[in-house]
Amino acid sequence: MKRWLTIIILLAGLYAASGLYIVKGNEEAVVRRFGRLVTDDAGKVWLPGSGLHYDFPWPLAVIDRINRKEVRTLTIGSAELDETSGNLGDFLRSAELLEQSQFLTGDKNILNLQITLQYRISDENPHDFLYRSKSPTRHLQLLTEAAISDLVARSGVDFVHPLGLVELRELLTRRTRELAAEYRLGIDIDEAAISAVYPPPQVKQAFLEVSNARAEREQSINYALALAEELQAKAGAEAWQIRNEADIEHRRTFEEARGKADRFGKLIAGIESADVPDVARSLTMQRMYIETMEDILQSVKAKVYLDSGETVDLTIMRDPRE
Amino acid sequence: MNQQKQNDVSASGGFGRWLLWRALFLTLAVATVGLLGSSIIFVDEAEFVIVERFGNIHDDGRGVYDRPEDRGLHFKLPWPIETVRRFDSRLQILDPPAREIHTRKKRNIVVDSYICWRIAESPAGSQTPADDKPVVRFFRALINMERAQNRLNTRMWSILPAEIGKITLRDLLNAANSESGPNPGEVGLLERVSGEFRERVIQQQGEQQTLQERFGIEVVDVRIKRVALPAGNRQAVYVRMRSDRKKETNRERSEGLAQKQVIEGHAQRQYEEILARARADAERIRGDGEARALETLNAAYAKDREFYQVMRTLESYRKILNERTTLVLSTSSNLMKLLTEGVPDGPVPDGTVPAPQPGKSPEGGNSNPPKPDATLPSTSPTLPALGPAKKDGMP
Repeated sequence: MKRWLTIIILLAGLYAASGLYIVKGNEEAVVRRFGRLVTDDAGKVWLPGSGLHYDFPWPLAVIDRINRKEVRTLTIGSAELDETSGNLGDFLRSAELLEQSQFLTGDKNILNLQITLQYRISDENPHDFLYRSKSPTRHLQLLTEAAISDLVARSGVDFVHPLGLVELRELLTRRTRELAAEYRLGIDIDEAAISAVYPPPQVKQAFLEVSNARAEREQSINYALALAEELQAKAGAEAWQIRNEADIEHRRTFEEARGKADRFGKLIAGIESADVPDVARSLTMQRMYIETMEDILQSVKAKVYLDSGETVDLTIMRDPRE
Repeated sequence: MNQQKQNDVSASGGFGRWLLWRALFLTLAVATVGLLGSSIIFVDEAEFVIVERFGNIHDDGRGVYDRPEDRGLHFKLPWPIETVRRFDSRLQILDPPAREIHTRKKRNIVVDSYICWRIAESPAGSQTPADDKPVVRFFRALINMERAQNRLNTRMWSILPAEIGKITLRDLLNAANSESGPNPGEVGLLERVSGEFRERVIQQQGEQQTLQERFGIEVVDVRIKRVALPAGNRQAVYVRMRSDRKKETNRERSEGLAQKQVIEGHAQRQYEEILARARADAERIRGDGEARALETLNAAYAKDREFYQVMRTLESYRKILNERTTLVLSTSSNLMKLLTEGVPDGPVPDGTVPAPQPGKSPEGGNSNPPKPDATLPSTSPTLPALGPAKKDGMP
């Protein structure tokens, strides 16, 4: 009888001890006692941190462990296939994934997209993640698919691939956040990224040509801009040159004039400072006249001297070469 | 255990009686524990509980636990008087495979949609009679989750074709042009259609009650998550896409060319403008220089205008008369007078020279050489024929 009691007490003790639980360093516990979520005084979920804890043993209390810091990833669709690699199995699997990646744009083009969602269990409402939905991540995936379908259905093909990609990503992030909050998924969206956009293989070449044309356009514009800049620099240099030449000429003209004026002024001053200025002036003029004539008459080809009043036969002036 | 029993048996003499008592005691103990256990209910966060007393759902507040505050520990009469049924209170997802549906214009499109639903809960503090509680309605009408899913699936595929049949593809897909993006302010086309679809799932036209009033099902989220074209249709789309791309390629090219030309033209114009301005400036600078030079010279020459004229004329002669010039001179000219007349007695005539008039001299300047026939006053009054007879112009 005593042994029985011992065994019963021992078993009861063991059972009671099974209420001890350990929460790992990166986890927090969520406790349901008799099925009801344990909250603190403020009505918030009570989340025992890492360490050793005790609560009622199962099934009186149930412990769930969550990691609210862990960044989880949800991927919709597949990235572009590398044609060179991959076996048949890959190919078959990817055919299905490719189907999942296909979206219709607003102008009825088909584009493949891969969406990568980074999310965490909500800081505020982890119990929504745990107990509100059978599969909150599945719901999140459906909502994201619907959101991106809707956004792409309102965009043109060039907007999605690739002109408005940044804008589209922002819109998608905002929309998925709104939806996650609206349906109380207990999920915080960090980022919704469009990790791949590519046309179906059947039209890949045509898309490549467009992006080439875009690159060419950029290139030719950049080239023209560089040329324009060069031309402007050249214009500046040439304009400086023109002004500089004018400046030099200005100075030269002026200096020349000043030189002449000074020379003349000195001549006049010399005459005026002579004892009899009138005579000096007249003499100077005569001297200049005679000197000039002397020089000229030395060099002129022919000289004809006539007595005044006589008529002249001008044939003598004919050039002998004629 | 066996070991122990055998020990007890060997210790006691009346083996049969002892065993009977023990068995009875054990049975009683187990039964008591079982009965006690069966009169406890844990209502979980993720479920609703219905308690049936001999199959009857009680209306005394202890029959249905479907309010938020009902979660936790409750008591009931032990089995088999009262039995418990549990229902999942979480969101359920119904996501059947996509199907081809006709639009209003008889065009086939592949539509993929889903329904998120759950058994509705009674609001906190509500006191609805048990018969009106959603979970009870659900239990009575649909019994379990699988049948509810089937029911909703059927409903979805009866409503969705009707909804899609009312619209065209253009109502689902819309973009002003290939580069336009979604307007963030407006509700999306797919969302709008999804919203209407949801309304219809909850209550179809002609139905008296909503889905919740009939089956206790709360439809949380209904969406068309994808619209695609049937596989047979895609080739045609690819062909159109290719020709669109071709157009886009050409447009990019020609626009690039046009932009390039604009940039270049602009640059060229700027270049010309800068140079023209510089040339204008240069003219101004030169003019200024000339003006100043002129001013300086005028100021100087005005001191003796006549002297200047003589000097300047002589300078001109030097320039005009060269080795190809034939000069006809009168022997009575001043220069040659001595040749014919000999040395005169008196001094060189002067006095006829007018006094210099400094200051205001309107003539002068270095740019206009005096006319070749300008006569030298007084010093050479008898030099009328001193016109250079230029035979063959300037070299």
